[in-house]
Amino acid sequence: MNHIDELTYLRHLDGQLSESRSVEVANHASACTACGRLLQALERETALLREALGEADELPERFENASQELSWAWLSVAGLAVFGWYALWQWVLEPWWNGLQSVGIGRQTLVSVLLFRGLLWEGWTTMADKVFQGLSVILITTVLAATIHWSARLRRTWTRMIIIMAAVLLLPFNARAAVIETDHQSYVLAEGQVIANDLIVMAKTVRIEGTIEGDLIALAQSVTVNGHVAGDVLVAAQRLDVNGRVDGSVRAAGEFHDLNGSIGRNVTVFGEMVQLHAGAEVEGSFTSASESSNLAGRVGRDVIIFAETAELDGAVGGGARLFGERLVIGPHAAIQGEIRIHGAEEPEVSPEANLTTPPEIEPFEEPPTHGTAGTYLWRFLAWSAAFVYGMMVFLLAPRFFGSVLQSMPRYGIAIGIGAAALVTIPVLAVIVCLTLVGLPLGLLGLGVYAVAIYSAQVFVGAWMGQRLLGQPTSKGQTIGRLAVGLALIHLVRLIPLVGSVVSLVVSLWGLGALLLGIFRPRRLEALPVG
Amino acid sequence: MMSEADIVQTVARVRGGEADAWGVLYQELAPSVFRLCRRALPTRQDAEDATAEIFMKARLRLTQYDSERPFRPWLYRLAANHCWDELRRRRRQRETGDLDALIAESPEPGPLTQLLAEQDRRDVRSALARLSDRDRLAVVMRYYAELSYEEIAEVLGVTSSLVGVLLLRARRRLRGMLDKEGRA
Repeated sequence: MNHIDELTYLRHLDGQLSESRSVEVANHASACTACGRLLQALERETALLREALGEADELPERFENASQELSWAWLSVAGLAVFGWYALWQWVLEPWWNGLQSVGIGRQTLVSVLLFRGLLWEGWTTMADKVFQGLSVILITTVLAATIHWSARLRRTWTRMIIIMAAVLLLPFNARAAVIETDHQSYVLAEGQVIANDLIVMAKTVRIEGTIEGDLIALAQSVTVNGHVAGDVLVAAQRLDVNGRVDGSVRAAGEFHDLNGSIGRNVTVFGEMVQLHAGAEVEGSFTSASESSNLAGRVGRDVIIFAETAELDGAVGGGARLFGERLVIGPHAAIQGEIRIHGAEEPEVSPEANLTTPPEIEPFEEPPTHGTAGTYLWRFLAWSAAFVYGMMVFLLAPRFFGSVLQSMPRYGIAIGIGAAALVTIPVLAVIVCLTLVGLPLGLLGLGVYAVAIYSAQVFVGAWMGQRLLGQPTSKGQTIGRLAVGLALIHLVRLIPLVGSVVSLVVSLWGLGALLLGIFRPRRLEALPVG
Repeated sequence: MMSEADIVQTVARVRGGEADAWGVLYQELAPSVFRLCRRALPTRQDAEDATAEIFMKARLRLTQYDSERPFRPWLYRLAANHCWDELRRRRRQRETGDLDALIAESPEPGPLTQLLAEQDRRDVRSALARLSDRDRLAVVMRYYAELSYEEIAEVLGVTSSLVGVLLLRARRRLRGMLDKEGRA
């Protein structure tokens, strides 16, 4: 008997033969034992192929609706991390916080500080509100545009983050009236002139001879206050001179700060040189961070100075803490509270200085970077902080997280992009800062830049964890791999020199992958849009 | 799981401009499209990307869909087309071999049945991944997406009679690979 070939049987099974031919083939298979076995085998083979092909396999999380429970192991890891955060707060942050409060800073809550409403930023609210309003409008518009036009992938990640950002930015809305002056080369508020509200001014030089009943907010090359400011003075300027009266606080960043007048509350300044001249008065506390600080005037409460060279030669109503290389307490110093000096060199304390308690001198020691229990504790705290942060990023924006991880294998390009971004982003941000409108934007950019660099370790860690333990199939596994990868990075960082090199590579690689993940071609992100 | 009628109804809602309907459709069909892509393309990542792209294409081409016919096969055909384009673009493998010689071979029941029963299905998928792109896609289209020979031929740009040859060759190669592994 002539057999029918296998191809014909296959076509027969797949319904590709004409009805008559199909009947003919079936009849032959019934009559011929060998062909019957072949047909049966092909049938079973087809069924098994279908079964093998149709068998459910691990789907990407984006296709799954049900959230998966975290395993106890990863909950334990999360618990450890929470403990780490608690320890960080209890042993490090809170003492610092209390310290700041003791010198008059810190009336605002930590949360409000994070929202740019307290500490150094207090008083910026008028200008910040305007900027926040503008930014919020842009963000809300972006959200709407994204919802309409962007893919669901972006909708579910970036839009979510944008909404959170918009909400955060909208929170501090507290519009107050303000006079805004930006069209001046040289702005002068003449003697006798009064501004009943806040004054926001951007000019090359700013001179206040009159009265401001609100706050003075200035961005200029030089700012001189000879008149009266009833509120706070907030200045970013190369040079600040306060010869008049400020009822509120002075907070400034720049190069030179000369304070000759009287200040009703606190002073917080950052700069190259800070001088509180004899005759000048600060009713509250005085805090400075500079290359050199010289205090000959009177300070009503505590003084805290971080400076390469610091000289304290005036009256201080509270205590003093001095941190620096060269510290001098001059003959005219009269300090009521306790004095703590923390310096690299032996401080010079004039025997003529009027001190109620002998200064407590803490010699400066290079902090050990490796091999001590403290180092390991710090490393653990750093790991736990990074882990909790990474877990939050993953849980809030899992697709974005996945998108960045997909870019990790392109390590050559990622490191190159990371290296370029590491340099160019801060330069661009500083350039943006040079305009008044751009200042908050530039600062925001620098903030985002810092967050991005910090995030780099999270993505590198998660990727390493997945390389070591395999592709995760659940959220718990992803988080677990993140924990393991981060632990590896932080362990390597404990090794002298190698740790530094690894840290740099991790930062560059992660930053580059982050940018690649963000700017991944849209066509690859296509998911349903509403 | 939605019935075919429900799917077609949901497609109609998408066409009617209902914002959430496409999301519903996506949730329902993305897993099976992903599996198709997973079987056809070399890596999981490729499959994820391809799935996303296929749904974007589907959304754009929804006007071309004939609502009198089932939606799933239409989507599968789109998916198979996409995978084939992707594979060709990559040019990872080139077709070789004499197809005509296959037809002349004598019929023998292959060992695949027994082997399939004995071996883990993962091995089958692993063997499938080692087939040439065209053979693999033909198998996936036929035995996963249940497309007809004509539809497969249209995707691969061959005649429908050649599809049977491709399927047979693919099955024989699978048998060969699994047999070899079984003996190893």
